[in-house]
Amino acid sequence: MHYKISATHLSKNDNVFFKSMLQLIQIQLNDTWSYEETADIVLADIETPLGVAFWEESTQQQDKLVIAYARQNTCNAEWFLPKPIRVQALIKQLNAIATFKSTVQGAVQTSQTSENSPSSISTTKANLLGNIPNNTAQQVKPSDIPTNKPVSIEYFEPEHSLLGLIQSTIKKCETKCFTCEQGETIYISPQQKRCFTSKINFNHLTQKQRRLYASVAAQVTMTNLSEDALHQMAKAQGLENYAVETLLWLVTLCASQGRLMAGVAENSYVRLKQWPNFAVLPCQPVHLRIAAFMLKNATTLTTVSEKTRVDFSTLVDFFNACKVADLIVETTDQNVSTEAKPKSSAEQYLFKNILKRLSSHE
Amino acid sequence: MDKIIFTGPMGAGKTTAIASISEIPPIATEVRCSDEEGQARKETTTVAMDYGYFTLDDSVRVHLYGTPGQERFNYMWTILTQGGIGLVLLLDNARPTPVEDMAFYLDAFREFIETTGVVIGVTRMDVNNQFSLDDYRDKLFELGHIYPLFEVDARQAEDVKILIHALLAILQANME
Amino acid sequence: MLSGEAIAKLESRLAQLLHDCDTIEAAVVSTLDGHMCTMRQQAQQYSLERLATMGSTLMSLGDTITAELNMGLCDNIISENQNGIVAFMHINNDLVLVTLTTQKNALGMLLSHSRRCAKEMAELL
Repeated sequence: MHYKISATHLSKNDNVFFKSMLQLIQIQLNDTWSYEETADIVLADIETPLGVAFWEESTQQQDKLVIAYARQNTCNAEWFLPKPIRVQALIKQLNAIATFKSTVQGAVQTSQTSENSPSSISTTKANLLGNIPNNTAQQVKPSDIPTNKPVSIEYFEPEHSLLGLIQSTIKKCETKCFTCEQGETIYISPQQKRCFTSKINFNHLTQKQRRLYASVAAQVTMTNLSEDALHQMAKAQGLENYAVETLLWLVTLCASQGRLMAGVAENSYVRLKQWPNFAVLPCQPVHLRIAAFMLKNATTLTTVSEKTRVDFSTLVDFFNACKVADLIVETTDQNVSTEAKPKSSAEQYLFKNILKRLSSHE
Repeated sequence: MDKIIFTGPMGAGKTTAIASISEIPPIATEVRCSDEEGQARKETTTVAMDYGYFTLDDSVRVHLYGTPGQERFNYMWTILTQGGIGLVLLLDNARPTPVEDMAFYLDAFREFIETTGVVIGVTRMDVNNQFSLDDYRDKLFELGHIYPLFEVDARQAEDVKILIHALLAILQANME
Repeated sequence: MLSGEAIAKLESRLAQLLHDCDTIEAAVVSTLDGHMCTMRQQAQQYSLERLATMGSTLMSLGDTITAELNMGLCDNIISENQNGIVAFMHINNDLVLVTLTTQKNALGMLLSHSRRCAKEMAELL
């Protein structure tokens, strides 16, 4: 999808900074975003009187989606970007808005599709399987995916996302193909516990990959196929194959977008059961830091975020991925390790420098 | 002196791992193996130490020491671990009993690990997949340890860096 | 590993070494990777297994140091201590000879007998 965004009542510096930042982060966004002088999505500086007035008016009229931009979210704005603009916060916010927008559109589309054609989950994808014989390909609609319940923007609900579809496919041991409009295509073989898709660069997912992984269920087109057809397809297209666990992990990291998994209380005490198998689960240095802490301590996610100095939404994404991988233990008691050695600033400095050195040559 | 110690059985890739991230060609004290196992694999073995380093922004050097693998050189283990900040244990999945090797080295370096930290890398899983990471994990669980465990290729700098990242992560967690 | 015949030859030469020079209290032949081949001592007063391995470590370090400094091959390493002297030297590319004495003034004798022994052992093999 292509989204347009404008900004209003920002200082000159902020305005310039926002525009260049928007260009810089394109590759990390799930959709295409462009800056326009007027748009339905607007970033408004609510620390200025005119900005506040604009925000209030738009909220009442509900004609625009306004992102409140300020040091503190004093207006309790639903969409809020803290000052100063930071890369991660902006990416999260724009991706969340895109998910929200597509969910609303998806819900409308689904409800229309349900009325008109109950056997199809989305608009047709007749050529999806290319030269695969017709009898091996059949578009399906999973009966266990609720399509009329609105998707939460507060919580991550696997059953409403690609993740849920994949999990259901694995459970039923069905070989399937998944894709979405302008998104990547993946083939899952639960029998082999592998998925087949084009090469994944774990550090830099493509927009097509991000788009599919972050899709809500209603946007995904699924097609049944035989194991033989899958092999033909994988061979013909030169697809790479990955462990299913790798895909579930990536999809969760992409799709949860800072939203805690539904059913998990933010204040519950959680810890990691064991080190995630980072041999097959792509990790960032920040994930190692969280894992090391969560293995030693059973505490709330807020505390984990504070202690590890990892922003909450990144932590939540990692937590959700661990939850899907069955690595999380919820406990009734808080247990923060007291065996810790006293903080040595020299050692902290050394470790930080080593990490910096290792990262700089990656 | 800030140093990271690499240990593990003969052929696990300690010398290679150091070479993959060292700024200098590593100084290695490798000699031809005279026993049947080593000769069958046409391998050399470290008899004193391997050494390499990388330099940080502030010109501080982080020294990388590899220990000899065989137990008969255990006096070198004691010498080399003195003042180390942590241990990287590399295991060769193609050896007959790699899971038992892990238990052995964790016990041999127990005191050092208790005061610092350890991260485990399993190599040559592509050569022999007789044991999976779950087998190692089960053994760790049986021994009452939760240590970071990865499948690695010691020739790949990125894999070795992941090990060091994880080691530093647990050292930092121990300090907080 | 060496054949039984080769080890027998080395044992015999070690016995001769300790017979010819009674100030040498013990002598060990080990492989360069630290396996004991044979040993001999005047009185059963030392545990020599570890010495064999340490000999390989030290000779290897000596080779590494001399290579680093472009000083050719390392002939021998001498450890002069409060209560004696230990000498480490190559027999050939695969074997190391370690000899020791508790007499602090016997360095010359220790080295000359040990070097001759190492040279002859290399010829025997």
